[in-house]
Amino acid sequence: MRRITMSLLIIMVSISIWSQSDIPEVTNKYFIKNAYITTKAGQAPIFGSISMDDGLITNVGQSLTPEYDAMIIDADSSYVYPAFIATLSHIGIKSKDDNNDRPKVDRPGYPPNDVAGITPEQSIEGIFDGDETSVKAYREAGFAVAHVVPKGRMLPGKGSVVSLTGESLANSIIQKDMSLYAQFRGGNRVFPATTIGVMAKWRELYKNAELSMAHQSAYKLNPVNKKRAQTDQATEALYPVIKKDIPVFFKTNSSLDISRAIRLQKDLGFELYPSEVKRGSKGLSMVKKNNLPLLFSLDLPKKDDSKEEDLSDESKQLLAKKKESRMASLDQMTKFAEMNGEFAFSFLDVKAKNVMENVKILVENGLDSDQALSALTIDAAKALRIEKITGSLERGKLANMIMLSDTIFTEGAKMKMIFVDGKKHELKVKEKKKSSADNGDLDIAGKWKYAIEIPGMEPTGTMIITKQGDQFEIVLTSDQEPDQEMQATDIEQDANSLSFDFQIKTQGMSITVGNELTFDGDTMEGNVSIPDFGSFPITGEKVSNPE
Amino acid sequence: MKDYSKSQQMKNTLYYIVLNLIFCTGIMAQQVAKSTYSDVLLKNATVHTITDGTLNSTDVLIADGVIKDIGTNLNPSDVEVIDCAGKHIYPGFFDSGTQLGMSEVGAVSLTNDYNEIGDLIPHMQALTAVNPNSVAIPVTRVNGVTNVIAKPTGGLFPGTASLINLHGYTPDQMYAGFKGVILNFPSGAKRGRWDRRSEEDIKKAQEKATKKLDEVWSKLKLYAQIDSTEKSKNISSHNKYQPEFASLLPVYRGETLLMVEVNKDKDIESALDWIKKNNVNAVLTGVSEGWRVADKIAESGIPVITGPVLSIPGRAYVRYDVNYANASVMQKAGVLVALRTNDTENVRNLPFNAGFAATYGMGIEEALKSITINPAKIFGVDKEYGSIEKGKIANLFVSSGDPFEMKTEISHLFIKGWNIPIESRHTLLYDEFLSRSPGK
Amino acid sequence: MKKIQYIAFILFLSLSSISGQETGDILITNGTVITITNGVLEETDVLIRSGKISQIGKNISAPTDIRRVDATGQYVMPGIIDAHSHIGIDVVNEATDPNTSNVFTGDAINPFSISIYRALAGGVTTSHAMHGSANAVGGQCETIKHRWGAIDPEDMKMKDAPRTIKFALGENPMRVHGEGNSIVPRTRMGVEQIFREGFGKAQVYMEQWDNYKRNPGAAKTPPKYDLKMETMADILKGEIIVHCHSYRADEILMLINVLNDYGVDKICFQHVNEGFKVAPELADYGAMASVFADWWAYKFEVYYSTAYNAAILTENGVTTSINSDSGELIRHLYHEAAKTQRYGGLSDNEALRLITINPAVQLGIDDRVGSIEKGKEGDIAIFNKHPLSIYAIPQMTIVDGIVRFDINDEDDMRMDIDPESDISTYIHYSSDHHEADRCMQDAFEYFTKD
Repeated sequence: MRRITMSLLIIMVSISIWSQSDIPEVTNKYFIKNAYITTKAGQAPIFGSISMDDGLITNVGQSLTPEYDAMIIDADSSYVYPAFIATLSHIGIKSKDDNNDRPKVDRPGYPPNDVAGITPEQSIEGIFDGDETSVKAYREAGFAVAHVVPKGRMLPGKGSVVSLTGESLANSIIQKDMSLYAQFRGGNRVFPATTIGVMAKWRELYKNAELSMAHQSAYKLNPVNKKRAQTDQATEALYPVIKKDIPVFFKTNSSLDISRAIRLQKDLGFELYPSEVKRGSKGLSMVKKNNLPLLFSLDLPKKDDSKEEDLSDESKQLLAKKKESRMASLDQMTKFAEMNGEFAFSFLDVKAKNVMENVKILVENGLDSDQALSALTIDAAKALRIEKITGSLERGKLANMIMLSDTIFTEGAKMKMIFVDGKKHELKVKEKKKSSADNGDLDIAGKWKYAIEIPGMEPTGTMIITKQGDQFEIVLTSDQEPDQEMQATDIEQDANSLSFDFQIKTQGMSITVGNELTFDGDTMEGNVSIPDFGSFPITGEKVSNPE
Repeated sequence: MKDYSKSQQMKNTLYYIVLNLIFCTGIMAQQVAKSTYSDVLLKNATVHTITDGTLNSTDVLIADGVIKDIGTNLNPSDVEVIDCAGKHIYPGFFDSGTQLGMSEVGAVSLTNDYNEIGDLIPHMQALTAVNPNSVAIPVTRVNGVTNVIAKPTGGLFPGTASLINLHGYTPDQMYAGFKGVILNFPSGAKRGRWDRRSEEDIKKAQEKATKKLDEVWSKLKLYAQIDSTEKSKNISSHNKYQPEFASLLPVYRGETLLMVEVNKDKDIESALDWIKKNNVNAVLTGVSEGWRVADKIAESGIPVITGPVLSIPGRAYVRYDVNYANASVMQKAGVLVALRTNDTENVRNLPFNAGFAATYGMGIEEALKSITINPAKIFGVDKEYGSIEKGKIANLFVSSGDPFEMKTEISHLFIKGWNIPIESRHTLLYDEFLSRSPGK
Repeated sequence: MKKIQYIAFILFLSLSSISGQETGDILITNGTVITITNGVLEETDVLIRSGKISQIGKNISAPTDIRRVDATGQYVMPGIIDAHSHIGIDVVNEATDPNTSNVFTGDAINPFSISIYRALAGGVTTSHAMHGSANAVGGQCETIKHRWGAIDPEDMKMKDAPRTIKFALGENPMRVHGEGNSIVPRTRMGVEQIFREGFGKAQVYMEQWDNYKRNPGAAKTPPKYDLKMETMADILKGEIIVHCHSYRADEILMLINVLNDYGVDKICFQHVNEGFKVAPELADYGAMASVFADWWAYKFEVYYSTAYNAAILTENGVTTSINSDSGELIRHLYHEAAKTQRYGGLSDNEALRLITINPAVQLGIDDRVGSIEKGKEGDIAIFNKHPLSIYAIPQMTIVDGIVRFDINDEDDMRMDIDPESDISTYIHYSSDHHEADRCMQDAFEYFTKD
């Protein structure tokens, strides 16, 4: 009974959200005036206007007049830039729980491809969800286009370029299956389990794909006295790689990974993008020598905040070395640029909300801001071979742009608006409640039970809070929907209070629930707000500490 | 008739010899020859007494299991004389921490008797599980190691270690007069390459263990008070069976040595504080990072058992040879240092560990002490062991030279006066297989 | 402040970017030169030009800009070679199948591993970075030179060294596959059949490819490319030296029989604790042996061992080396070799051969390293005392004419620091020395219960 009520409640809530977000636009034409427009990274801004129609830029210039049916936006001396492109990401991919159970196979040396993590045929179709929180989060961080790849192990699948409109894949797709995504991450106690296994498997898959591809074309020419090629989808999925129609984006966090990917590239001959490079400083000349581009990770190493005065002389030296090492990570893009290396960024491990912050850290540490913008826009477009349609603000290109309150990467510059495919998304500017200075060490990690007081029902559940470094992670489960695990997002701490959102999915719809909790020892209380439905008190208590 | 019997006798003797040969060859790889026990005069040796310098052309008389006399031109009657001209005599070496005798085959768990279940089990007795017939014992002693500490490992209080002689048919025969209780001091170290815990996790685990240790100690205090009261009032109390506290009681009262296993620098400091606070009679063992806090250890006056010397530094950023030099750094700071291999089947490498310590700063003389008189002092058996002195137990060996040098051969070995054959599985297999017959 | 750090960082980078392929010039003067192959030369100079030994003699004159190392009173020996180690690689075992001849440890070289520097500090200039012993047919191995300071893993490889592969007999493959996965081998009978299957199928494979290559047009379908079979075939063709982890006499003879049946003659047994029992058979087949100085009793198949193994094998004419299989032992192989003087009374030169020219023969690189001879590579270890003495301390280690270890190096020699790691972590390596044994690394999980 209670369960039915809950579902009803959720349906009501969901419907109201849909109706609200479905107010149609009256025109497809926009005209932004009085803006400082940077049409392309590295170029001086012009003060003028930009017009767009049905998703494309129709004009950029200093003295333009709007069409009668355009919606005019007075930028009021704001700054307009090309929107960002996420060159390699898992944006919109529903997080698939990593299965750590030992797979049951008869012979671990010969597992089926899917068990081994070899699914190069896997497209993002069916696993990309425009509704997923990361799509919105990235859009709000200034991204209009993303190159999205599946998650997995050795060969998770093919990457596609999508527009971050938030719509269905069919409406969002720009370039389908335009890349292959590869990792050194091996199978779970099945071949290939290790880096050396992965590299051996690459060689085998590749050589066999070459053979069967050659045989297939010979068969096409003359099938007489030949058996038709007996192949599989994984093998066939490699054909475009062999033909160099599509490049391989290889996750290579370190210079060692880079050298291993280059080893394979040399042996086999595919087109390679060493990607998600975090500690690549030692590998840069190797990359340059082989004339390869790079994608640097925007997941930057955290700063060590150890206070020097508390440390021994030895620890001070060690800390200095660690800082040097961090500097090498922050400096690698500049170093590579100095070698005339081509690079963009990748976004596999970075959260949307940290992107801008991290780019600023890079700029503070010496990365030229034009270079940074270029890597986020036109160079990213080049890496994805879509520079003809986006990456800069030119007539005929996609109307993908961002409007900021100040020049980009400037402290305090706020994102005000983003156009994706000519569709306007306005951002509500969040005011930070308090400075983070008075954030104490909140010791709330552990398992909590909660109860929400909604009249006539009392949903209960558990909440597991873990602390990773100085970040909290929260996973909720509801006793009413025990199969669903909800990952909290946008977690913010303010002294002994936490605010966060989570999404609950039911009947194919998802609603975002906001939470504000205040902790006191082993108890907590606060409010849960469900959009258009109201705010309800929540209470809870800690039942166990982390293992 | 007479002739016949004579020839028969000869035949019998021959038969016996042949039989003996076949028999002995058959069991060669299994068992070493028996030791003999008689008065022996070691003639004309260079005697490294350890406590009284080096004596040239000196005789050592072994009788009744002890060193009866030391001097020049000794001339006792009815003794076996061994010419030791050009040879050297050293006291038997002590390895102050091993599992020798407590494990036969490392990977076969049912042959491993050093790690019992439980965290608070000081009553587990190493001596109980020492196998006098362990094949590793002869292998060890032929390198001059006559005494070892056999010790349990495992949880917080894993048991009680024993000092043993490496000769005897029963554990009691082997027992050399010292027992100590082991404490694995709460550790802030990673346990190995595979230990993926963060520093934070390690700290938490350490705090938990420290809490437990303090709790044990406060309960032990109460136990001791009750025991004292009962003894003074002559009350006999049998209402509780508490072997763990019963075993810890003499430690609490300072009558039994507590062997505190600790390795990381910070942990050593904590251990020193804890020992001081609780006024415990203790020795530090392990102490891999003693070199980082050597002065503090010296100041505490607490002795140290460290090793293996041949080991890898626990930090990637320290000099490659810190473990080689560790014992020396502590010794130079004024710490009484003994060495251990912490090994089982390769305790025979003790002299080489001492040799490395000598090479990396300690010098030969101090390195020799660290495996002879120093451990004897630490274990309170220096009246019986640890040097060549008149009246001490005859644990000694005769070598062709410096026993730290690999080239040196050991020709004679005495343990409690028993003349031990220089044989082990390893030598017997050599004898049998050097020139195998049939060959190919 | 930031600027100073930045400059420091630039310096750090430039220091740490010595190329691995570089070779150097150096003149070592007036040392006691232990050539290994040509006796001991007192008060002798050794000149290395462009990484090669160019001259050995007294009072060699060399251009003044060449670095000079005064070795007066010191001992100059060829760089030590370890025929069995697992240092400098990130992966040791691909333990998923009894035959993984398709993998290469050379794919996982990590030039930043501090173990390489520590090995250099023990005079070791070349090591055989082997696959582990989890599988009967393990992976192919890489012979590496300890060019500490190199950044590109490729620069660590000893270019053109013969290919080698790891085989393994006995308990390890039985434990991982038989006990762990319930697949063959669970016994030494099964182990044998893994090799026979590998070679047998490789013969068929070669035949298929030969036919296909002879007339590709006629083939109905191309044969499948199988990297395992390619490797097994290359062994049959004599292109790969087999290095086989083994302990018991019976299993050693088994492998000799298998290899004999398939005409494979390049074989070096590794560990081979019971090699002494079958030394005549080993010598007869031309099989070699790379052994521990004294490891035994850590598992049942090494219970009937003797530290006199190396001596017995040597006396019986088997080319023998002493190896480490451990990041600890590799730091003092000179000491390990010296143990053969206590256990079997080998002469100085016999003992030193065990860690120089003999392992070089076993790796097929004896024409390049393993002795101090004109034309050989400039790999040198300098000791203050005779290297077989317990009192010897390595002073300097030179690879290709470049000093890669100097006793006066600074303490912290790390090349790669994780910017997110704890600044200092202490690892207590368990007292058990086999903790350092990495032969089964990456394989333990295969037979531990979930």
